[in-house]
This record gives sequence, C-alpha cells and structure tokens, in this order.
Amino acid sequence: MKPRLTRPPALVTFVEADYPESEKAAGRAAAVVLRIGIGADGTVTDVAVLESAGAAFDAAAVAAAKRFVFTPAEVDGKPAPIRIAYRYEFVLKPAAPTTGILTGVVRARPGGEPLAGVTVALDDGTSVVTDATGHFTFPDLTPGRRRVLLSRSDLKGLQTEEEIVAGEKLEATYEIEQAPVEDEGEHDDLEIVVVAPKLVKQTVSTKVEAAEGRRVAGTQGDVLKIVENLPGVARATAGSSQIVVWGAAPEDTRVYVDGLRVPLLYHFGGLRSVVHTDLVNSVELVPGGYGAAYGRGLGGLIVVETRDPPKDRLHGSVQVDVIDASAAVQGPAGAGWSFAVAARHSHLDSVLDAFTSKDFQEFFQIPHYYDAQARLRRELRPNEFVEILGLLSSDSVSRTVESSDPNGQKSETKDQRFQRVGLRYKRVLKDGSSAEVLPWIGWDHSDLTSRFGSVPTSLALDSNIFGLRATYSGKLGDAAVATVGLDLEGTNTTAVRSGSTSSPPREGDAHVFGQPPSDQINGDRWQSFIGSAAPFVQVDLGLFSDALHVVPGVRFDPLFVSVARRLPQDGNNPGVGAYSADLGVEPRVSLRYRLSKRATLKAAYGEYRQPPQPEDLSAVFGNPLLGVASGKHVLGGGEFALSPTIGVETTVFYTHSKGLAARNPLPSPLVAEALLDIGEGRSYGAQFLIRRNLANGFFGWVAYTLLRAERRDQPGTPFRLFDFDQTHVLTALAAYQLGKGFDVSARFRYATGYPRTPVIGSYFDARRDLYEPELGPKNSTRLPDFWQLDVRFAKRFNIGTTELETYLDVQNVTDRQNPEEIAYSPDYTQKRYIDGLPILPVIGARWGF
Amino acid sequence: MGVRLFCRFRAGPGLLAALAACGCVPDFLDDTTHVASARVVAVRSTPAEAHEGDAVTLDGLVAAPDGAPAAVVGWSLCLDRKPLSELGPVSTRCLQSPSPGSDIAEALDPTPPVTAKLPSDACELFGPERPEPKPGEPSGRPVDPDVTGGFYQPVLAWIGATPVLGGVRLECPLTGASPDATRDFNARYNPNTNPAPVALEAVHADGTSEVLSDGAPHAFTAGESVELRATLPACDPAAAACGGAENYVVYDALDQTIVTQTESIVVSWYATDGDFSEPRSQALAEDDGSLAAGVTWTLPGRSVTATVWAVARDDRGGAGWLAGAADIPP
Repeated sequence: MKPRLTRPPALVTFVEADYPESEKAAGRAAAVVLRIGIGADGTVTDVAVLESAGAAFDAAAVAAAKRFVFTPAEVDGKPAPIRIAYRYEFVLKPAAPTTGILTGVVRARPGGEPLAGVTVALDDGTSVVTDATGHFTFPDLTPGRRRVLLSRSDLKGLQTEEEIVAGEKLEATYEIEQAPVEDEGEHDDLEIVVVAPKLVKQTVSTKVEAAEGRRVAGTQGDVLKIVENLPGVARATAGSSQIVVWGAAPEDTRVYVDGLRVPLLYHFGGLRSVVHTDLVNSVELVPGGYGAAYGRGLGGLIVVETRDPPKDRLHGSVQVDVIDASAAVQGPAGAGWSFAVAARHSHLDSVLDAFTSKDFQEFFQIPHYYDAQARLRRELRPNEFVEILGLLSSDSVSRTVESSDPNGQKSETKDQRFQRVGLRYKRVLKDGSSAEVLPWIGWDHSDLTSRFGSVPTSLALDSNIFGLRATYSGKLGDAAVATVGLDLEGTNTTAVRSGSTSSPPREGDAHVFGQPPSDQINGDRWQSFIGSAAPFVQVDLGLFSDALHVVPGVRFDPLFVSVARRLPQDGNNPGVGAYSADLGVEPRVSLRYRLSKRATLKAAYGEYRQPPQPEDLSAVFGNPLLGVASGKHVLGGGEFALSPTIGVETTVFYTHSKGLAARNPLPSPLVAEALLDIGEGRSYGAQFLIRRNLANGFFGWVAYTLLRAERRDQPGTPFRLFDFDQTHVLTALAAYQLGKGFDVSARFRYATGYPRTPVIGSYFDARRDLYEPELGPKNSTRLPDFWQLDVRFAKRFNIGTTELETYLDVQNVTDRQNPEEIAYSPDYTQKRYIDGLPILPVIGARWGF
Repeated sequence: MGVRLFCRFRAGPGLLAALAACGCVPDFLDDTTHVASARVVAVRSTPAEAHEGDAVTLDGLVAAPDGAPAAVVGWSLCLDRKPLSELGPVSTRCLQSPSPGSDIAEALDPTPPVTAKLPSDACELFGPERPEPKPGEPSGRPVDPDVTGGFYQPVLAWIGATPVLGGVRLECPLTGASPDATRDFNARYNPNTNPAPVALEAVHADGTSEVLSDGAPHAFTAGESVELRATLPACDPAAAACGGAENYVVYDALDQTIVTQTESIVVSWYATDGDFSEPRSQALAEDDGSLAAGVTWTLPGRSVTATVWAVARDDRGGAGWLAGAADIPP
C-alpha cells in the first residue's frame, strides 16, 4: 500500500532572512523557491534552491530556512522525514524608525564662516568632527535629550542640549566665537545668558554673550549691569542700586549667586555689581511666572551663575578705572583641583574728593565699597564635583551737611555688608539625571544712621542666615523630566532701631524729598527668626513630538516667623514672644507651544508668598504679627524669528499681590500694630524685545516695556500709583566692532518719570521753627521724562599672549539735565529739580591673560 | 527770593581730567528771616508745660513789615490725633479753620489774654497714655515722645488762611518704665519754663555795643554789619525754673535708663530789613554761665527804621523773644 501523508509539517519557528544590503539599497524585492528537507523530528535537514532570485537573495533565503523548525510530518500516522517546496518572499518595507539624526553646521561668530575640525561630542561618548564645510552628522541616535559639546583647541567651548526624536532629523546651526587673531585679538570666553521670563525648560530667552554685555555703553564693562537694559526692568534713579521688575518693590525681587541668596546685586549707587565680571557665566532675569524651585518673593528672580574654574591654565585680569580697581585669577590647582578668586575695591570717593567740591558730595552720596569672590573645586570624577563657594560684599556711604544753622545740620551714614559660604556637591549621571546639594551659611549687616537737625534715626540689622538647596532632576519616561528638591532657609535677625516711625519713609508715604522727619521718636530692640523648609516638585512634559511643553509644579512652603517680643518693652517685665506659621501651597505652571520653526507661544501662571521683612517685626515700629504676603503672576506671549539673526519677543503680564505691609491708617492704632498687612498691589503691561544677534561684528536690541503699577494701602480705597511706576521704559543699544581691535557702542534710554506727591501749600511749625508741606493726592504728579544717550569706545592691544583693553565710557553725552528729584525751598513756596549726573566720562583699562 | 543753579567741580590734570562729574544743585535764595508780610513767627504757652485739663495762656509773636505789634486773630486747639500714615506733626484735618462744635478742633476766644483749657484726655490723645480700649480689644498705641521725652497739645494760631502750628508741652505720667524708674523720674523731673532772653545787643565792629529795644531805635550806619547778641540767664541746676538752659531728665526707652540733659536753646532771627548771616544760632555758654547767641546782621544801605526780633526756643517747646529797632538816618 502506498504510504499516505496523514499530517503535513507546520512551520512553528520562522526566521526572517537578512535582507541583502545591496539589494535593499537597490530597492529590489524578490522570491526564492526552496526545497526544504525536514527530518522526522521537524528540524531542517537540507535546503536547496529550486528557483533562484540571485545569489544574494538565494544565500539569505537558504540561511534563514536552515533555521526553520517544523512540526514533524506524519506518514500513515507516524513521524517521517519529508521534503517540501517553500517560497521565500523578500518584501522591501520601510523599517519603523527607532533612531533620530542630528546634523548641522558649525560656524564662526562673528562672520559666519564654516569651521572645520570641530569635535562635536555627545554625552554617550560618541563624537564626530566637522568637515571642511563645517558640517557634521550623527545618523543613528537614540531618542531623548542629549548634551552636545563642541570643542576645538583654539575655540571657546560650547555646550548645549538637543532633543532627538525617532525618525526625525534635527538640523542645528552652532556659532562659536573664534580665538584671538594676532593683530586684533578678541578673546573673551565668558558667556552670559539672559532669560526672561523663564520657564523651567525651553523658555523665552535672550542670549547675550559676555563680550557683548561688557561692550554695552553705560555698563563700564560690568556684565551684570546688562540686566538694567532688559525689558520689564524700570530705570533706576541715578545713584540708586535698586532693581524694579514688573512693578515689584525692589526687596521683592530675589537675587541668587550660585544658589546663595544675596541681599543685593549692585553696590550702592548702582555703579557696579557685587560679582566680578570675569567670574560670571550667566545671569537669568525672570520678571515673573518662575517655576517651583524658587520662592519667598513676590517680584522677579535674578539667578547669577559663576563660571567653572578653567582647567587648562592660569587666567587672570586686572582692571582699573575712575570708579574702582579689580583683579581676578582662576585656573587649575593640582590634580583634580581648580580655583577662582576675584576682588574689587572702589576709589571713586577718593577721586571725587580730589576733583569735586564738598557741595557736590552733599547731594550725591559717593559709595565706598569692596567685594570678593572665591571658588575652590575638586573634581571627584567626571561629572561629579564638590566645591566651596564664598562671597562677601561691603558698601558704605556717608554724607554730612555742615551748617552753623542748627536746623540745617544733616548727616547720614549707610552701611551694608554680607558674607556667604556654601559647599556644593553635584553629580550628573550618564542618563542625564543630576543631583545637587548646597548647604550654606551667611551673615548680613545693615546700618542706617542719620540726623536731621536734632532728630536722630538709626536702624541696625544683623542677620545670621543658613540655607540648604537640594535638587534632583531625572527623566520620567521619554517625554518627561522631573525635578524634585528642597529649598530651606532660616534667618535669625537682631535689630535695633531708634528714631521716628516716619524715618526712613516707606513706599507710599506721602512725603517729599528733604522733608524733615517727625521729632516724635522711640526705640526698640528685637529679635526675629524667619524660617522655611520648602519641598518642591515640577515635571517638564514634552508633548506632541516636543512641540508642546507643559511644566506643572508645586511648592509647599511652610513659613515660620517668631519674634522675641510681642509687645513693646514695659518696665522690667520680661518680653513675651510671638510665633506664627503659615503653610502655603504654591502651584506653578508654564506652557510653551512651538507653532513653527519661527513662532512659539508661551504662557505661565504662578502663586507666590513672601514673609515679612525682619525690620517690620518691631513691636514699636512695625508689627510682630505681620502675616505672609501673597501674589499671583499671569503672563503670556510669543517669540518670533524674523531671520536667523533677528528675533522678536513679546509678553503681556499681570501680577497681583496682597497682604503687603502698610502703615496703620487708624488715628489710634493698637499697640504693636504700627504696620498692618493690608496693602495690595497690582501691575500689568506688556514688554517687547527686538534683538539682533551678533553677526558681522554688530549686535543690538530694542527693549520696550509698557507698564502700570499700582498700590493701595488699605482695602476699599482707590488704587494709587506705585512709587516706582514707570509707564514707558525704552532701551535701545547697539555695538559694532570696527576692526583692528576697535569697538564702539551706544545706548539710548527713555523712561517716564517716577511719580511724586505734589506740594499744595505749607504751614509754619513754630515749635520746631520749620515749615511743613501740605501735600496733594499721593503720587499724583510725576518727575519729567528721562532720556539719555551713552557711548563707549574701546581699543584692544595684544601684548605677547596677553591683552590690554582701554575704554572710554561716556554717560549722558548730550549733557542733558535729567531731573531725578524735586527740591523745595525751606518754606515750600518754590521748587526746582535736582538733575542727575551730567556728562560723565569714565576712562579705564583692563589687562588680561 | 529766587533760585540759583550751579555746578561745582574742579577739573584735574592727566587721565582723570575727563572726569567732569558735577551735580547741578538747586540753591534757593529765599530768606525766611525777612519779614515781608505779617506772620506768626513764635507761639508761647504760659506755663510752658502743663497737665491735661489745666488752663494755659497762649500768645504769639506776630512780625510785621512795619515793626508794629500785632495780634493773632484766631486760635484753636487740635483735638484730632493724626494717624501714623501721616508723616507731618499734626493731623491735616486740624489745618482747616475749626467749625463750631467740631470734634476735630476747638476754636478759642482770640481776645488777649487767650486762655486755653487743655483737654482732659490730652495725654491719651497726644501723650503716652494708651487710649481706652474697646471691649474685647487691647489698648491702643501711645504717641511717641520727642527727643526730650515731651508730648505736645497742638495749638494753631491764625492770622490768615494758613495756620501756624504751636504746641503746649504736656506733663504726662511716665509710662513703660519700671516702678523704681518712674519714682526716680518723677522726683527729678522739672517742668519746662519758657526761655527768657534778657538782652538784645548790637556789637559794632569797633567792639562797642548797644542794647536794642523796640521802643527807642538806636542809630546805625547804612550798610553796617553788626553782631547781634541775644543773652539768656544762667541757670542754677538746683533751681526749679529758669529762663535759660535748664536741666531735665528724660527716660531712654531703648536702654531703660533715666538720663539728665541740658536744654538746647536756639535763637531765630527775623528783621524787616537787612540780612542775617544765618537764620538761627545756637545759644552757647558764656564764662559766667549765661547763654549767648550771635549772628551777623548787615543793615540796609538806605535810610530806614528796621525792626529785629530774636526768638529763643528751647528744645522742650518753650519760647521767648525780644525785639529791637535800628534807625538808619538819611
């Protein structure tokens, strides 16, 4: 009987043949007919080609078929070997993308010529080198955020991040500043990044190189003074060091240097910042709507990062001009160690002593200051270090008006000093996550002593501060990055105050310049502690192929305030303290949506809280039970790239704050309630920035802010103008490299005058033998508008391997008389303006190596 | 009157010569010592310091361009405590003419002698005593004292639409001190007495001097500069009252100590003609313990009879004055 196939073999393990690369590249498909011998156990015993499709296809098909596994065929019910014909189809199908491509070109700045030989390295260790046209390509990258480092021995290093998306090709253009050229050397490896307003990631930002910031007229080479020229920042009164951002009080804007909170960014007079330019890596100005990592402030945020100490060789500089002298040294210090130190000391007071009369200094207080910074870093291993940071700053200003008239004798002395020491540990892991811990301590001292006629005023504050900032940032899947952290800070303050409650005046006080303080005086000595340990979390979600970024966050900020004395001193009775706690949840969210390569929309919302100022916690002059002020920021806007070098940014914003400390409006206030947390503020407006990035030796921008900032000192009353309200603030600046080491830059500023309270009459106080003004509605008039043109010329010389730069920075070249304040005659029947500084040339030199 | 704007700087040599920094400083030329129209230049209470509820006599010195004596035409007591949000020395509501029955200010009979009965709660309104608390609320904040520890009942004198502010020093209980300190303070405190200048002299360049009075003008040379000297009596530290610089005690709330101080007396100068080197002068101790304040008075260069006033003010709110006349013949 003829054998009968009772069960055919079934293919249980299919092995896909390797598609021959040559055929795939040629785009050919084919089919190979095979004869497959199958053993009684189902394994393939032999394979032969019955119909060939070419050697490559045949070999691939045979190789795959030999690895097939079948169920045994059965003949007459028993497993038996068999041969079958099998048609193997090679189908050309597009593979699902699993990788992305990063390609681009590296160009020189300025000039834009392509740079060959630049190493482009990724954080996974892979690297390529740009070709003669400056191009590079990473054809097969795992999706995700990748750090990109560009380097060439003669170029400034540049590091950035790119988001690699599977199946997509990211084309990037990087511009790197070239090394000095022999005869017109241009060497400045600093970089400043100004971001405003910032979201956690991919925020609205403007990037300004330090070389640019240093060259801007009016900054006298101080990179951090560039902040004054940004949109959203009000023009400070001449001689003022205050920063007013989006209508917030100066003390409401928090300043951090390398994570250390400092009380001020500029020295008295606003002539210099408190950090040496050589050490500055970047500064971020965030007018509002910032993320959950920061808090305890109702206004903006300024974050200064100093640069990592260089490891290649020793660098340094010495700078001298009529304002001050400074020096900086930084470089390697043995295996794994590096350092940076800088110091500065003013001498403007000595200069003006020699070249101006005493009368000048009676009106314009000349600051005396010094500062120093130090950083010592130990690299533990790649991407892991520990370092000690140190900052100190000291300011003092003093003036005395001598007079044989007892009522005409005036004196005022102000001192402010701070010191900070921090220990920072940071580690960046291979997956891009990072952890950072920064414990720090500090000490603040401020002292104001004045005498107006026979009325003395003094306010001295000494604060011991400690803090801890710890953050961890890591990926949550492919489209999310989470940051969690703890922001802890405690301030223990000892304060002594004597004098009038009206001196010094507060924001919103109805008073005029030169008005004598009340002779009703008191005194108090108190201690306070303000502490907070705020955990925070935020997640950066990249949606729709990273076109939309949503960054929700939340900050839990428990604020503790304790005061040693709840009520004024009463005889020998021991004081009874007071304690208050306020646990607040502060939600924050920011959005950024990329409409196209040239247009991006943005929005943010945040809630913020701020503890009372230690000086307001006096039982005599303030209120030990002042509550926590709170505020909300809402903003929206867009960024538009008009060309590769010209961009436009616009932002509209609204802020509202309540619980602000204000004077008690009652004729008979309760004890220890000289201040109440009943003030309210709001500001709204829009800011615009048109910027031309450095190209062909030219850069510049126009920043304009339209703003209205208002306050009211008690509920139910109409809003009034905020003391620092400026309707229009316009800054236009441009800088051009003429070649052969010559630079020229100019800055034009226009700003609405600050509000002032008008004098509508006066009366004679016969007991004190002086006149008192009768005042109109608060802040119902303004100083005249301000405008000023500044220019700067510089010439650099190469001396061996070093560079000497000389510069002339001329402020107010038109010698315009800009009114900065209103002065009244003794009986207030006449008024005249006190003008700001006339034309002010500042000559200086900087030598660097 | 006028204003002068001027820049003050000196250019230096060398590199720094470019520093032409200067500030344009407004320098007002108005002269508050010149009496161009009748105005109240001093207000005095007798006694100079009184308890709440006491009656005091008020008078004011009206300086007029013709030198003739004049009277204050209106008086009022301010009854309104100013809030802390007002930085001036008196409630702005008291600067308006008082209306009858007002609880803001009390109009006084201006017929000399002007008598004012201080409010019975003056030490609560304007002094260190805390206002009566409302049920369930703590008591209010006391008023802060001046640098001498004094509190003042505001008084307003009117000769036109704008008042002149004066004050009656209140003798209020010491608060905030320990019982021992309070007893010590009360035992040592001397209420204030108004300064009483005893003479107003004009000292010529040759050292000769003349005592000025407002009744019989002395003759001076046109354009002559003389030193005016107002003298005040020496004070016996143990005396209870004195028209010179008295000793008094003040409680220092910050250090919780009782401090003995001596009054500072400043003399303000006013004249119908001529110029003073300073608008006011500190009275300084002489060898005999008396006080003298001096100023250079440059007489006008034309024929005129000028009246000069010297107003002595102590820093506890007391005031006293003398007037003199100078005749510059044709």
